[in-house]
Amino acid sequence: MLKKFINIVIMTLCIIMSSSLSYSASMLTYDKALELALKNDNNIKVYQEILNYYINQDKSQISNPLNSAKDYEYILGEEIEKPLNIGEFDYKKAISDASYQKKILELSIESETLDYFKKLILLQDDIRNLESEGEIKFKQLNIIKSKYALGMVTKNEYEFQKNSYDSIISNIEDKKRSWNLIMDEFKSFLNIKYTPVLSEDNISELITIDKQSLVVPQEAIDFAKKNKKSIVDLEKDLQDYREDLERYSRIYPEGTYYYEVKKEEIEKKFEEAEDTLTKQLYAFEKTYLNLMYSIDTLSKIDLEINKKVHEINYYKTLFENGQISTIDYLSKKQEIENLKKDKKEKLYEIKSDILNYRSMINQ
Amino acid sequence: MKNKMSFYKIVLSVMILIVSVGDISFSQGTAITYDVAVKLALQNNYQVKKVTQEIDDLDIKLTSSTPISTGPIITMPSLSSQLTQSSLKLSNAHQAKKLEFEAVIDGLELQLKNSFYQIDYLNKSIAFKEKKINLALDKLINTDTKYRFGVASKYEAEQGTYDLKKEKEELVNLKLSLEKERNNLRQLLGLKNFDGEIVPIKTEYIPTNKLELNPEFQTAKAIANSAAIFYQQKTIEEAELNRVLAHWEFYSAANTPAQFSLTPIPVRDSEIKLKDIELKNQKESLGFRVRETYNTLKALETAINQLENQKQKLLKDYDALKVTFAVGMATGLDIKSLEMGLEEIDFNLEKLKADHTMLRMQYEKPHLIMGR
Repeated sequence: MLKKFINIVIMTLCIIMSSSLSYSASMLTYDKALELALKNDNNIKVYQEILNYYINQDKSQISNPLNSAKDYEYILGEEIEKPLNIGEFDYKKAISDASYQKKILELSIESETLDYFKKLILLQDDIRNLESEGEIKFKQLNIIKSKYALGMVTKNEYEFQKNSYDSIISNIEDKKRSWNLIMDEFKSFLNIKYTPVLSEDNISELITIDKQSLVVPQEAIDFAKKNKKSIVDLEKDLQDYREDLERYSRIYPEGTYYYEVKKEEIEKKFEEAEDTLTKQLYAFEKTYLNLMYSIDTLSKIDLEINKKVHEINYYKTLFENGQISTIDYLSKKQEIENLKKDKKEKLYEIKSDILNYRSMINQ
Repeated sequence: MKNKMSFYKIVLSVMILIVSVGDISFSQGTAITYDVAVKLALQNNYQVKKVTQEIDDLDIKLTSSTPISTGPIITMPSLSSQLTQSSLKLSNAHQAKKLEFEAVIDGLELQLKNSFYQIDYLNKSIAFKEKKINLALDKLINTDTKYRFGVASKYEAEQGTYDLKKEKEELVNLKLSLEKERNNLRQLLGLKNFDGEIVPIKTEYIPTNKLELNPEFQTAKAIANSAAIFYQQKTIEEAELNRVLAHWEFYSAANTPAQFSLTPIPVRDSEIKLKDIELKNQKESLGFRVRETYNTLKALETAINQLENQKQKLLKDYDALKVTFAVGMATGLDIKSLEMGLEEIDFNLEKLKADHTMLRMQYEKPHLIMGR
């Protein structure tokens, strides 16, 4: 008997644990979604394979003295390290290229995850708001229906109310259809079979966006010079031009015609590079200022919400005193939900702009 | 062989079309019908000419190249393998171009229809906007009179001026959009100097529940007819063949330094995997886009139903207003405003139905829907 009881207790515990586990597994926050996307993306896996191969090959090339021996050339008695032989595979460059490709892919996955998450959460909110609106409309419809039966309103008014209720129901169906489609795309993107429940637990992390944590454009340029491939390549090209000119000067000393022509040509390249950097700085400034503006708009929405909260309190008192109807009170409450949705939308927009800004600096 | 036959059939039908439209002539300023526009576009459109030329070029190249060997690849000498590769590439490009040609023709018809709808809509919008300007002017005179007699505020009078200005600005924008659309039509027709009018086409509004085409079936159809997917499949086949050839060359030829410049075999394998992933994504994405088109069609139907309901209500309001007007309790301006409202709903309905028709045509020929 006791054994049977223990068995039942164990089984119950197992059921509770498994249900809580499956619950936590199906709950999906933005961070968790990003983690899954990066872990399950097939392209990233293949890029990692390529990268591993190049790293291993590079290691074995270094360990092989025949391959790792450096070659030198002598110009005017000076010993200069020669570039790689033609036809020799440059694993270092291949590693750098593959890492860059992987980084770009990761950045794009991050912004795509945010995009899906944003669309789904906002659609969910839309559906929820429409459902609340539908409830109010349904109550209104019942009132009108009774009034119509008593001959207090015209058939036209009743039909109008009925149509507006029907159109909300159709809108909900349309939104649900879109949600299902985007969710299927998201599942395929995350490489998962189950339908997760989206959680906004980490939404507060998105909210804590402050102006101070953003890199100012000048700092962004300094960072880009070290990390952004196009800018790094540009800097490398400039360094090569400097070395070219230095090598050139050994054959055609400074002051000679050929040296001056070459110098002029290189100076032009420097001007072009300067121009590119200035344009880049402007682009960073533009994005940065847009972000600042969006953050300010977010504060304005916060103020609007606070104002609405006070208004709702006022209407609540009116409602409790029986001065306004339930429907009027619910409609007022609905307005605050719409504002909250606006705030959330802005929040995701800012987060997405920050990701773009980061991508601009990095790639 | 079968493919070649179907291609010739297409070429033949295009030629028949060209012959049949040989006598097409239109004088400047006369209106053209949609059917004539399609014939003119097939004759003159740059994109059609370009793809036809590309197919002809590929035909010539294919007939002059070595036929594809069916023997074992591993034993082929290097030169022969290169020739096989290029013949295979040419043959794949030829088939992909044929699919592209079909898509260009279908797409062109679709774009022409869209252009006809747009021009018609913009023409109607301009006429409607002009009426609205007249109404705004009437209202302004009315408010101005009231203001002068001290019955309306200065703000109301100023608001009237502002409304009139806004309507006039919108009219300018509509005219610009019309000019832009007419340029687009000129481009589609391949006639730079075309200045004629169009004969509006009627929208064929068929709700999705009467179509009996489910998204799954349409997705399969889209995948089977997509040039991009066909090309990707062939690219994978080429990459696999190249991988085998590279393997063979690497081990058979002397290990000269030049051999090291080739992409290493494991990297080639990974690249094939990447292409496979891309193909899978392309197919999946096309399926999602087909479903998206279906959802948009449904959403458009909801919007059409809503507008139709609104129209019914306005019609009843209009009847009531006419009675009120007859007994002298409503103004002529009230009647005019309601009539304008009804007219606006009518052409908004027409626009939604045109959008629905365009989207339905894409849904019926799903290879025209582009995957992301």
